[in-house]
Amino acid sequence: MCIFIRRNRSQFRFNTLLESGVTIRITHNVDYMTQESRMKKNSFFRKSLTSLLLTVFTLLSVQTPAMADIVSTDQLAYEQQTQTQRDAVKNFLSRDDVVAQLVERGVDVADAQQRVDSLTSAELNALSEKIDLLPAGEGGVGLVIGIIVVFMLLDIAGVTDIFPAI
Amino acid sequence: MRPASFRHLTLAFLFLLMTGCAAAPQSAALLQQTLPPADLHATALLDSVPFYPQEDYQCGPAALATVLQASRISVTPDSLVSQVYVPARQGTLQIEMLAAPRRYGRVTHVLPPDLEGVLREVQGGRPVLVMQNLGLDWYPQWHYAVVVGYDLNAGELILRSGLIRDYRLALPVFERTWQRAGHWAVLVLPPGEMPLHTSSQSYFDAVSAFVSAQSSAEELSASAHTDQLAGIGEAWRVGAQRWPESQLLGMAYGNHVYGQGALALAAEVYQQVLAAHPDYAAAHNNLAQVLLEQGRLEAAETHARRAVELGGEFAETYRRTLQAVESARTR
Repeated sequence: MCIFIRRNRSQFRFNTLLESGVTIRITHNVDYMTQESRMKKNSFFRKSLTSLLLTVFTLLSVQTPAMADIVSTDQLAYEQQTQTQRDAVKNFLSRDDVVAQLVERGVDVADAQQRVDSLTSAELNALSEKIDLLPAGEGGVGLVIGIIVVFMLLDIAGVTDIFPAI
Repeated sequence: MRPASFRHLTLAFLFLLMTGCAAAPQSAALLQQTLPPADLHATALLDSVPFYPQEDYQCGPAALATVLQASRISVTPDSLVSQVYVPARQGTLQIEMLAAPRRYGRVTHVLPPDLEGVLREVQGGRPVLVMQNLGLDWYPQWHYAVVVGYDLNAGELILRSGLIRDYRLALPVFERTWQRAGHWAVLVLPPGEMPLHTSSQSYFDAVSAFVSAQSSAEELSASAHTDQLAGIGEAWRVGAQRWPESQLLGMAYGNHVYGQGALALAAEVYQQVLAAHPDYAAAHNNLAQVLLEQGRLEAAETHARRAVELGGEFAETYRRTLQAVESARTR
């Protein structure tokens, strides 16, 4: 039997701010008997499994609060934030909404999911609110003819840098 | 053309020039100094940084591949297109430029808006990813490029930009285009390295974004997972070391090693935080928890009690810790 703590990614982001920030998952490995002995000792196996599970739950009921009782880094970071920052997190949309926004703008669904997973909640908010307003570096120059002359002069004056050759 | 309309055009152009012609104070300061700062060389060039001539609208993936390669991550602009490019915008958003390197095990640091700081990073061997607005505020032409060198004698910056490998741009012109993009400059570094100039809060934010983007254990091979945890631990360790007065970085490091089961080290780290901040309740609480698990119940009770006395946002947690310690002592 092993008990280990892991952070469930999607759940983690929502729950940490409110609760302890860890979920406890239990796996037990009771596969210690051979096929033969298992058949022979079926009732023994059941009994031992039952007692094992009972032990697990008893242990858990004692250990869970103790394991969870450090103040997590996410909680401390949240404590430091201003009210505005906290409100932004409360208004937090689900990651799926941002995935949908990206897909709407031509990104492949699987890619969008992966991309959204690397964002912090603040970044996620900024993206979902301003996806069409934020600067998007393109490097392609699309100029209306009439404005080209103006920009050539501005380039020469060192104000802009539309034409690297000037 | 009638004289009146020509006059209008000239006036309009002058107006443009005035609104667009912001000063370039940082360049002026750098170039007018009779002697540049003693520890800043007059020239620097990172010639080994790769160059990817961008295809249409793809300066984002090209610039990102450049800095990732320089950080020893083998990746091509083509493979980054699906990770950062937004077809409907025909470009790449800054937020996604910051997020993508995290998937390659790299931490992204946004630098302060300081041109000399950018030059210092380049001098130190690190190419700097920058955003520019090559046009004007009302007619923006957003662009990503990578600063790979500079020449203060000639007053130029050297960039991997667009289709030009060593694009030499006058410092004041760069400063204006950079300033119109909010002085956005980014370093892509392995965990455990940090920018020359940054604040403890910016460093914390960068590492914490990196940590939350890391894959869960099941998606990785055992060795990749071990590397990932080691990277995170190292990132927190150097942060706590550089800013010993930062509560947050100290706690982050302590909590990380506690999560790895290194109780003795965790206790030591929390104690260091308490040495700088004797009345920091969360550190008393977490130290009490470690001492409890080590079976050092008397010391655990002292710290748990102190946390409860100090109280604060996590008072409920402190009370639970104290209860756990008390019940362990009476057992």
